[in-house]
Amino acid sequence: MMNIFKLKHIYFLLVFSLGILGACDDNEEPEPENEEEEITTLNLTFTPQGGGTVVNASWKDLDGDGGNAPEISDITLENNKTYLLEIELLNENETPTEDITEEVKEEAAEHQFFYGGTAVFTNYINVAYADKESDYPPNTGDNPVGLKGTISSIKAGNGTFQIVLKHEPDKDATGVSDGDITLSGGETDIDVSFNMTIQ
Amino acid sequence: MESLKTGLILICLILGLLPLKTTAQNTYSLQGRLSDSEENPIIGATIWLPAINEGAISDTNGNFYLKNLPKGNYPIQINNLGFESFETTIAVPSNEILTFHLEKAAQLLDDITVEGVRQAETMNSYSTLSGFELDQKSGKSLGETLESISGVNTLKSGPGISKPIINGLHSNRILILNNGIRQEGQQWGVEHAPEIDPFVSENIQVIKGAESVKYGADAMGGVIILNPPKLPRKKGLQGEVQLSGSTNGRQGVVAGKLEGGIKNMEGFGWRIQGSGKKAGDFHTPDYFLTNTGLNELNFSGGAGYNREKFGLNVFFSQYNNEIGILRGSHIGNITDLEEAIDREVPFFTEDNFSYDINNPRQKIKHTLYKAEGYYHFSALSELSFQYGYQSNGRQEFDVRRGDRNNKPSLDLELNTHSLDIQLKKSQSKFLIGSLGINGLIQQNSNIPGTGVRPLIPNFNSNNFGVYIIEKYIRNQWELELGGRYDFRNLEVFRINQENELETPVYNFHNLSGNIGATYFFRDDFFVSSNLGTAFRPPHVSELFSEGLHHGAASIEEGNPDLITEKAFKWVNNLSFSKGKIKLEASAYYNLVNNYIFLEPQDEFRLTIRGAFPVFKYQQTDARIMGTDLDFQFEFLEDFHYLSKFSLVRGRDLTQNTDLIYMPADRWTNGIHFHKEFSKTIQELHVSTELAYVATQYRAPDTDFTTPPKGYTLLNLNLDIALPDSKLNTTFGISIENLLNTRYRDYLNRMRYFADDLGRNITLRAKFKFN
Repeated sequence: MMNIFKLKHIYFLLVFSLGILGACDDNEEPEPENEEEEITTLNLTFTPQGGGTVVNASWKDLDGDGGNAPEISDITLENNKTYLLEIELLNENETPTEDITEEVKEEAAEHQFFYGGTAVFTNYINVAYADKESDYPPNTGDNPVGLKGTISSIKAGNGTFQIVLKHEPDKDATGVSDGDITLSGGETDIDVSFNMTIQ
Repeated sequence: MESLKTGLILICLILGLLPLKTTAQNTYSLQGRLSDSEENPIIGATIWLPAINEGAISDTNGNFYLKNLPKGNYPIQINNLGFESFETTIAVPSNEILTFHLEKAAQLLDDITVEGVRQAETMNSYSTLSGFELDQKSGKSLGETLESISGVNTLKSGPGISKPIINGLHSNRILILNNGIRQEGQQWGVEHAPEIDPFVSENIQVIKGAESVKYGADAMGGVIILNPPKLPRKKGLQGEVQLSGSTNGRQGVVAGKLEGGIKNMEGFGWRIQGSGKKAGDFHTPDYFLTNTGLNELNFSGGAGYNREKFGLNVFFSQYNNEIGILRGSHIGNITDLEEAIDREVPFFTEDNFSYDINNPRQKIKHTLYKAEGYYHFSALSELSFQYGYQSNGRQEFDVRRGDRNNKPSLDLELNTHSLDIQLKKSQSKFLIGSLGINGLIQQNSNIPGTGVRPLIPNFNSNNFGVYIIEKYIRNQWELELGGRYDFRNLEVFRINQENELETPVYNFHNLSGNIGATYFFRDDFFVSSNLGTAFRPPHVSELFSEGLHHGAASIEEGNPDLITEKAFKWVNNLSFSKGKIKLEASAYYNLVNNYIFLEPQDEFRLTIRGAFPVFKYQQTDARIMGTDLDFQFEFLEDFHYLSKFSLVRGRDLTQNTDLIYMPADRWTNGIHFHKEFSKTIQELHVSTELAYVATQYRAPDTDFTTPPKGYTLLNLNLDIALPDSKLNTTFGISIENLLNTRYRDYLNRMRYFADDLGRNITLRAKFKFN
């Protein structure tokens, strides 16, 4: 069937098309993109009121989503004690290490931590907020942020302790400012769980 | 008495007491014959009605048949190689057989109009939207515009984003030809709509079949062809303005067009065109869909010089769009998703309407430059070429911490050069051949500075294809045979987890073929059958995407070992028309080997945001089959009953499960009244439509929720055309979801979070002057 087209036509097509398409340039090597909002590390510090041993715990995933599994430490608290919980967020992939806690403080009105897990829901511990937005100027609100909290251990046993950070939650929805996550909405930026022992 | 009766029925229709409707119009058919001065039949001539974009090609006896003609008087153009072009005016309807004689020319023909019609030539089933039917959709996106064609659905992500689905397939499995150029945007994403302004087109065709031989990779489910009007060739200024306003979303649309030629320079013509659209938060029957507004601004221009022997045309268009994504659909992890699904009203729903577009949002800019030309070596062979350069910019803005909300999370630039060259030749009285070459070079770049690891890597892609199609037309038969070879080279530039550059290279070779036949019992009764193959090399997103998909709360992993998808689509079509009855029926069977899909893995991956389900791109063999039916019956003078039915079944043959996102069964019934009146009102159309969409029972259980319940919507349309020699005016009103029914559609991804749109009343006006 090919012979019905004159060869010179085909030749013309080929030369014409290759000539135009040959004149295009290539991609340059891409630059690696820094994962700016990455949170690699969550550090918890439990400071007992009235003296005693400070307990530290961390949740660390330096290579981000996928790859190696995160390193998660266990938390052991003494029974019948009240601890001040402080939360620190880091991006350890930046040099120097970036303190994401500062970003949360700056936008305190748009962030809120929630404390949960079986240790809370089965009443091994009681939790309460120990900060409010106005603790982090220039924020002025009275709603909690949760970078600081009060943890009272009331019963010995084992459970889990969960920390959730919501971005743009509805802090005015029912129960949210008391730490009830149900109606909070927003996006979850952090959702991690630790094993917790009260002894 | 007659007019009183008509009036009463009209009132009933307007009140929706006859709960049936359609958007199609009352149409007629015409038969004609072409011969030369010695009464020899003229074969293969183009008969074209530019006013309504209908046309036909004369058969081996010189007979032609025009379908889908609304009542009226139309200029008709007839062109054929070796004959002088012929123009006259015809009246529709007419009981007479039209007979025209063409004068032999020394050589050559008016070619431009030929192209327009020949593109529609296919042994596959196809539908065209033009004229009044297209005007009724003015202001809608491309996807929504095509929804009225049976077998065409839309995959939506809220009110602003809609992607066409043809016979169950979408995205990179269908092809869009915008003004003759393959649309190359970021079509892989389900929330990436085609970057096209429908106002540029004067008719839109949908071919429902595998058409890879003509168009190359991806034409697996079908092809959408958008044709702009031909440039004027004579002096004289003309133009049109279209306005529309809708209650839902408080949307306003303005579009305009101006065109003309130059005195003493016949063959030269130009056109400029533009459209703008603004909408705010859309509304369900009960609440606003906060942050679903959109802004759109598009413009285009073209100029050309067209003579019998040769022609050259240039075209430029730009599409700019900013779309808000429902705020309540943006989520952080699977717990958020479950909470969002369980809610009646989405999170972040505001009590008040707003035109504000906040994050999450998309910003898209698509620019096209095109040049095309043709040259006649002799009366029987023509060479045509088209070159296109497209630049697609896509920015997606997420809800982010700090001052990063104005920084895109995804910032892609896709540049594509394409060149198509075709040689068409009448080889004998019965045989027409075309030989063509397609070349395409594409470059995808992530614009640095997003602060987010790229969703898809940079790549270069080089494509080359060559094809040959032979068409044999004799007596009652039309046969088509085609073959094609394609080569794609893909070079990927990827930064891996360890921040090292990897540059995998892929080469894909493919052979495809097509064989089809049409048999005419009569000119208005024919059957056709077409078997076509199609192929689609895996997209970079399927090979290398990695990471979290925020909209779906899942981790998606590419699969570098994927191979080319290959489809065999068999389409059978019947077209029958007699007296007051018209029937179009098609049935198709599409077997897709190596069908690429996202398979849920038995793994939840622990991240600092919580645990996420993992999905990986895998391949299987899939089968998609179904049927589309269109039926019309004029049960009373000027009153038409219209019915459209479509059914799709998609199966994963390896795992023996249903395919996700297959359209549910649809059945639309309507009544359309169309009448021409006196001098004051030229035409009146009234139609009511009851659109029923069934529950999708055939869905895999890997979805986050079960498919929503089926629903029925009542729609209403009224259009009036007012004649004038200088200014033609058309007014229209449409009411969609008249009863404000609460519903969710399986094919709208917003269904996880919110109801679909409530009642929408649109007022339209079109002014055409010359």
